[in-house]
Amino acid sequence: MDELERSLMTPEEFRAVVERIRGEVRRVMVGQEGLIDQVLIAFLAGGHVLLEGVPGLGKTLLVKTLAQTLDLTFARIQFTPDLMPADIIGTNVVMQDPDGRRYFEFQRGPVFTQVLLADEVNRATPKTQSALLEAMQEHAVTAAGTTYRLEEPFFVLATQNPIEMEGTYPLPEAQLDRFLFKLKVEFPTARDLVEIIDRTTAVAQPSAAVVAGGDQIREMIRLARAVEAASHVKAYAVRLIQATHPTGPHPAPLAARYVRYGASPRGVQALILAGKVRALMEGRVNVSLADLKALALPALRHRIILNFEGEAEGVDADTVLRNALEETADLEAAQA
Amino acid sequence: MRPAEEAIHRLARRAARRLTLRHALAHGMLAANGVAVALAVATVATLGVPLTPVAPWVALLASATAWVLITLASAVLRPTPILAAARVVDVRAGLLDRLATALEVQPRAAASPLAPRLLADAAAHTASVDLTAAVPYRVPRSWPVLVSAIAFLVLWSAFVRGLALPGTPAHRTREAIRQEGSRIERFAQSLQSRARSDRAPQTRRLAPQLRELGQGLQRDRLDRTEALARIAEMGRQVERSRREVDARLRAESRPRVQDGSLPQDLFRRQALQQQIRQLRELTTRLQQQPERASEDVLQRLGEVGRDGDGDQPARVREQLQQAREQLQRGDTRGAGEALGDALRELEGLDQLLADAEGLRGAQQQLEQSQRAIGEGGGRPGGETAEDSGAPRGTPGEGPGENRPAYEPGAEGRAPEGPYEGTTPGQGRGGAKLGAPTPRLEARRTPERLRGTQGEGPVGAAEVLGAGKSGAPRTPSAAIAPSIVTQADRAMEASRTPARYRGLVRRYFERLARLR
Repeated sequence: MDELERSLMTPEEFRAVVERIRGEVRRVMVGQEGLIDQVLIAFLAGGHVLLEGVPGLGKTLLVKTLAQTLDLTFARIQFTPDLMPADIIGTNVVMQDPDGRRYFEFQRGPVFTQVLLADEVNRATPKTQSALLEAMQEHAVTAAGTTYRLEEPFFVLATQNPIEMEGTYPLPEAQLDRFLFKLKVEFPTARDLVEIIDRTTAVAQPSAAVVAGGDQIREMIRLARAVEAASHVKAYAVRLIQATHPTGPHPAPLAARYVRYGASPRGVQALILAGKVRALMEGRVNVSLADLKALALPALRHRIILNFEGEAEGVDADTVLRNALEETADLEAAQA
Repeated sequence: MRPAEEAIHRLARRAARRLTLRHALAHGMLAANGVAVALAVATVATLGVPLTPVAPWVALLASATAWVLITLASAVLRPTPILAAARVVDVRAGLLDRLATALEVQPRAAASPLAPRLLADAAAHTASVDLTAAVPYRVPRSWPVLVSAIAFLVLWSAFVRGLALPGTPAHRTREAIRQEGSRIERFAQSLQSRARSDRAPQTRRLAPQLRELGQGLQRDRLDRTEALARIAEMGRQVERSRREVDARLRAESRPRVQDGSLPQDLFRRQALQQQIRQLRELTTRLQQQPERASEDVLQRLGEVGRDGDGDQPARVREQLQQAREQLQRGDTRGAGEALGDALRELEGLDQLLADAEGLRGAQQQLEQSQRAIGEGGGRPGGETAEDSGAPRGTPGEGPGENRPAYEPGAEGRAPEGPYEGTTPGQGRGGAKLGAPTPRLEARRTPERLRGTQGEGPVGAAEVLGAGKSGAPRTPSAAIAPSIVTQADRAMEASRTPARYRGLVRRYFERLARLR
């Protein structure tokens, strides 16, 4: 254990690196502090993020800037209806050696990167979308019977546009569940818009410097997993997940009415893991209930499937989750 | 244990002690509330049930006792676990679960790479925790219930106590108390007038108090217990006076009965009064015709002495003996004086006997009233202890007298009924009328109803009417679950994108309105 302790980065170093990353990203990005923090949390928890927002809010810029600051390889795939799985993971092509003999060689696709931006992921067909499944879950790609490991850390950041739904294919639940967070990108405030004007229309364009490398990021991910979560914190996470299940032991009222399927077990994993990163970012080495409450919406909103009544009445997953948060008994707080 | 761990444990233990006491106080308050509310409910029930309303101080005492006992029991039996206390401190002091996590991790610190840092962090944060502010002692939140219940009892005691709803057992008891009060008052009036004529001092002193008791029973809104308590208190006074009178009677009586109880017939008042009358006559004769009367008086004195041999006090006998001797010597004046002394002695004895008789009557009256109130129903009529000795239901005393005597609790009592109209003096009504008949079964002649057996014709008609048009008002949630499931399946089967399902639904709803 001592060896493990010695090999780990200290929480102070963790915070210092996070602060540096934040600072560099903010040099380029205006506003969206919460979004930046949540993307960082997902990234340091080793998870993937689905960003939902209208075009022009800086989703791509955020990912590109993050990749720049971390000195990681970056690739971008623009998903379109005619995109094929091979366009993502790569394909075997026939090659010819100097002796004239032909052989197959695997040509790696854009997925072989460390930070992957899957832009407008819902415009590709489900078949193509599913090509990302193995990469996201296993951090590996299999082509023609051969499995290729992806370089760590591997981080997928997918975007989708919530308003132009014609000709789109909503992501299947199995794929949605593989995203650690689903984040909603809000429109900037008036003050942020002015700042955007100043930064982007001047001669000098801001750029981000490299502040962390792949090794550091791997250490940070490892440290985050060492953060402690008390039993009552875990129990709270479980109660919260159960509250989203209409047939569970203690469903929240709105979940009982509008939800067909609640959050999966990956939801509770995501909650605790993201909570650990948030705790470290806040200067703690223990997960608190506040971490879980703060991260419940991004970690669970895409794991809840509403029933027909919920969709017909325009109820969204956030409403159901807020209700579940209100209804989930925080026994200690109640006792206090 | 390291200093950091010690600090964490110390804080958690202190918090656990505070929480244990707080919870114990809260449980105690709940128990006290329960007791107070139950007593308040029982007090309200006295409107209909002849129970004694609980005095506010009794309720307060009972609640306080329950509070203390339950608080002690809860503190001993249900101490707050340290981990639970740590969670409370985490929430109250804004420690963000540092304390609880540290306590949980501490036993397995060796296996956790961040445990030392976690413990140090928790210790650093708990050092500034003010436990008195985080877990303060406070009066349990439910205290207004207790105060309200006690206030209710105080107000009830001041303004409502003694009220009873008509027709309820409590009302009947209340009426019984009034009746007995009336009886006691009447008895006291007659006792007072008799005591005045008999010049019985103890009875004269007690009769007004007895009358006041009777008036109080009628005037005040008393429950059964209070009424019985007042009567018992009066009974004790009467008993004390009676004992005094009995003691004096014993002192006046002959030595042979001093050790035993006083027989009822020892001093027969009639005999005594007879002797008094004789002595007065003899004294008068001696004063008017001393020479002619001496021989006759001497003889009569011997008779008086023989008649009162069992009853007369020793001093009276001595005085009579002295008078006889003086008469034999011819000293009529001295004999007259001795007779006067004997006469005064006997008159004093007569007053004592009058007292004893009056007090005994008062005691009987009070006992009868106690019994009547205790049984919750009155005795028949306005009978008092004075006239209770008269035989009941004696034939020939007037209309209605043939009604069977009322005996509380007696089985087989005939219902009140047609006894009034029987000829007075000609035996009991029950014997003449036979067994009493319950009134509802007065007509016993069976009547045959005409008609045919079986069911009659059944009419059925289809009623057609225009339905009320309008938009459906039943929310989809109220639709049968199977329909909702079918709709869900239909929407899924049609491969409608999720985003458009609302649109599809609204489309069909609009179609429905157009139809």
